[in-house]
Amino acid sequence: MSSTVLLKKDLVPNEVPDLEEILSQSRKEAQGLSVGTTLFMKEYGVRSEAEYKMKMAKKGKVMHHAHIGWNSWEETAKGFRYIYEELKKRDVVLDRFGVALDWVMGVPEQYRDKVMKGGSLIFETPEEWAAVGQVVPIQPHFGDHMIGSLNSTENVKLALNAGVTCMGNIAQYYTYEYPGVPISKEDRVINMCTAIGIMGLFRDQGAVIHSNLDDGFGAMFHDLANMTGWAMMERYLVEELLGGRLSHCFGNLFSDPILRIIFLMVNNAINKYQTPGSMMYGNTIDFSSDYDRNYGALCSFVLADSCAELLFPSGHAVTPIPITEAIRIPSADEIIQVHVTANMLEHKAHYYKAFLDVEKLKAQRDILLQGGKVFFERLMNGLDDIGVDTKNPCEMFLALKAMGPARMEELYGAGKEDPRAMRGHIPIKPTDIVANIGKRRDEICDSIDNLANSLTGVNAVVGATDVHEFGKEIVKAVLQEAGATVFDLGANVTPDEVVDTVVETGSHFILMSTFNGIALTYGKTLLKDLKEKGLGDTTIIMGGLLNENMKGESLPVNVDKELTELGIICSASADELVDIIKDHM
Amino acid sequence: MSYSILIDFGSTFTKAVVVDRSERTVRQTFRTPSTVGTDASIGLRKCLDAIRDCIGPSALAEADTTASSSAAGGLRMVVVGLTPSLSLMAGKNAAYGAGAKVIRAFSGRLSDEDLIAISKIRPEIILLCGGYEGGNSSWVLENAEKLASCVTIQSPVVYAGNSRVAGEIRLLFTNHDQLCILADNIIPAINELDIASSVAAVRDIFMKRITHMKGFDTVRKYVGDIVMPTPAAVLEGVRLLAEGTEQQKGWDEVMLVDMGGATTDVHTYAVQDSLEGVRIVGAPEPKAKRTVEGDIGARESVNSLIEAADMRRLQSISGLSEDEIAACRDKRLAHHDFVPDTEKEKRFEQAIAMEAVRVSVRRHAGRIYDGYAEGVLRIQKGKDLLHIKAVIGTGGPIIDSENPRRILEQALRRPEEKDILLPDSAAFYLDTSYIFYAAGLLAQKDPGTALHILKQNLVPLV
Repeated sequence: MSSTVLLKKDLVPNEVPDLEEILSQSRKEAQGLSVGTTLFMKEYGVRSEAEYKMKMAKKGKVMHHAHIGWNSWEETAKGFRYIYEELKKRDVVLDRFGVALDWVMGVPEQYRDKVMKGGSLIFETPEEWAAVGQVVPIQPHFGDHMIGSLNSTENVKLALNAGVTCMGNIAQYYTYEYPGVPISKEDRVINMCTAIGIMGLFRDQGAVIHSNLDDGFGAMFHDLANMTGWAMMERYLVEELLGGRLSHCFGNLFSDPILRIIFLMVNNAINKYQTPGSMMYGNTIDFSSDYDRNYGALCSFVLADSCAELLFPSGHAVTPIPITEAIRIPSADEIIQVHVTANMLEHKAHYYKAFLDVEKLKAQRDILLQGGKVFFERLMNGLDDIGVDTKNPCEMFLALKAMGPARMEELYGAGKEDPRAMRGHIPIKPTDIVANIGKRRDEICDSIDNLANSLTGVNAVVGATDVHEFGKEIVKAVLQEAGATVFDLGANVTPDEVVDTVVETGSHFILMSTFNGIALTYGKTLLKDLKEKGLGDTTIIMGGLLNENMKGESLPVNVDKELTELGIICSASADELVDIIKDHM
Repeated sequence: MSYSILIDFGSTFTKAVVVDRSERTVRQTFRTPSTVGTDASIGLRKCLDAIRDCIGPSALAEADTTASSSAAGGLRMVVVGLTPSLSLMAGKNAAYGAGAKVIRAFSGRLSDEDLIAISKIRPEIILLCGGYEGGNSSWVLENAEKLASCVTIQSPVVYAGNSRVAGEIRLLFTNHDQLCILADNIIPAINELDIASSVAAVRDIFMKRITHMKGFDTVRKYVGDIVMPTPAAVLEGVRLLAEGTEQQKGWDEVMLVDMGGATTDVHTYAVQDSLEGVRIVGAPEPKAKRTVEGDIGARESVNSLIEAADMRRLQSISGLSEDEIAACRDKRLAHHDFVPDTEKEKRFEQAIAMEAVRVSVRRHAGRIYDGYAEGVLRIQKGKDLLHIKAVIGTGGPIIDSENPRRILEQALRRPEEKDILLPDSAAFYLDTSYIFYAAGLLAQKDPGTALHILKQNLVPLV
């Protein structure tokens, strides 16, 4: 257990407006605002996507969602048309598009020069916003950089005006940051709560707030029971305090197909206002560069999600993930391909649904619900005890974010206390990621003969160039098992940090995990900095997705060859690491 | 009636603050030119005579007395680490926190030129650090060997690096008749900072030096042992003002800028917290941090101050030409006790004070840098002072200014300086009675009264 004493001033250092002030600001912002009508609404004769979803759920129709991540409006609109027409030809209905906005869209216009552009869509004009629902009769959804960003209120108004009624992504408030933009955390939260309040004012017109648990703190819990309690907490803040209607998306990090069904049932059980869901996201943790295996992973979750929606309709759309997604931003044809595949799977799901053991599923659901309630109550009481106003959404959002999921689990976890367990509690039901890391580590360790002490005396620096730490965790565990001394720099590590740490640790090995399309630049910088310090003999091993955006290419390309030529070892699997290190000792 | 008498044997003045603890007020402040260079007890006697006149002999006899000393200008140190951002940064913070003056800092493997430079400096202490626990031991050992075998370097060494070779390093120095004190590893692990024992070790050497100064045998009879170096007492006062006590709220995050003739000291108390999504690179920063700018001062260091300052700013603030500025500078270099006597001299004094504050707080504060690749977080190096709520000024050029607020406003970041981690706004105060060392000393016995007198005696600048 953490011995840190929690104090309100550490979590909520500055005063923030109360609920009434926020709601009054929401009413002011909502004046003159109306919900636009999209082609989709016209086509299906509905006033909102929520209305459509409720109708379809009643009919037993499974809906589908495609995630779109191209970087210009022109290309996006072209893609919309192409996908719509091609799917129509093949008799497949796509209900919604998730449009990924770029980082800069999460920042008020006057500060956009302070943020680096990513590779996603940037609306240059209000007209481009308004046009998003007028290209094809597929309803747009805005997930990234909306509610929870620094520009929540403005973006919500523009989206509602364009006829987009479902938008996210509260989870990103906790994990997406816009460094360098001079907006305080208090102002960010005030802006977000105001936006939620606006959505609340339009709730009877079908406005639904989306939060992808796997994008935020949800994914960082080790225990699914605590994640359930966390979902209850988000509902309490959004629905009970601010009057909005919330849909919890999940799925990115759920590998076990049955667990997906159970978690959907959990979601339905805590959905007090029967708000229709946005989408269940596809499982991406099983996706790798092996396309053949990805097909298997795709089919497993689409089948499970289709069954779940047929048995326990929630309005969530099923999201088939193109099999190339782990490698690059999928093309329109790749999106079409998986939707046709998913269509076939949905047909077959009808055969499975009657033979799934609903009672067993319910029993599992109830375990999570009970644990979730314990976590929720403990968290509420804990915050109340230190003086956080649990009726003030701004204070609550700030306090929860400052506390972080690890500390929450340590202090309020629902599982049985055990000082030897990670975070001091034995998980009631470990998340797939936690279970998988453990499993993978054990598999690798078992497969290597005479592993113990084989790397004794070896010092190694490990880190990730981005937020993806799971690969690094496995590598670290295997090296430690082999007796190496591992210095872990964590996520988003800079090259100069790596080099300085090599000096202070006297390490001869650097193992970097990278997924963000910068492998070559990063490798070159590391080599240059190491040479400058006279450490040219350090062995660099890189793993993950070794690609980079190259001039003249629309998608990042593999750079294994270039890295190897530079003398960097490219390793796709943690199995070979111990041997590689031994060879270079 | 109970009095506490807080004495400071500074390099310019011997100061005394008399606190009436039952009334929680400062009863008297007194200062007399320092005699630490000749016999410290002479200045002390003058102080005690003045205090006796004020509170009477019996109250003086019953009063408890505590003292600090700056040891005639501070302890001259050299810090040696392995990387500027990690062990060296931590080492410098420890040295400054202990009240020392870092003359030069070295990182990596020491070269022959480095050793010559250290020999010339003749530091009073060398702080040698580097290597995480279980990490690099060969480079620190190599540096230790070079320092120990260099006959022209005889300074005592505090070793605060990788403990794996601590015994070996101590032996190396001992074999060369050099004192080596072992402290805990200053950077035991990634993102961990442990400067307490290095600070204590440096302070210990500092105190020994003070007690060996002339007149301190007599001083001890009146005031007991000197309890801490002056800069450490001041930093303690800053910490108290920020943190508060259980009964009294503090001011959260504060900055004290002390401009003298030779140096400008910046003290801050701030918690590393605010910038979400920024990756902090380098050794963790201590909450209470002190830096000394040895090239920024109004008299002895006025030349280097002008070099570090922005000439156009100096000209536009003072309205003086470059030649006039040079003339003002030369006057101060020739006469360290010069007091500005004309309108022109006052304008010059104001301009150099403004630039001194601007430059020294920017060196003290952290900065934000762009990430190394598209879409990657931005990077923070150094201390986050965005939430400093009060900026306090002290030292002659600031206290004597006709517009001290304008001087202290230089500690704020300007709109175009988006990447500097200084506050956008703050309240401003003057410490005209050098109350911080006194509060820092008194805080050891009676933190409530110490905080009270601090708040009472800081003059708000509106």
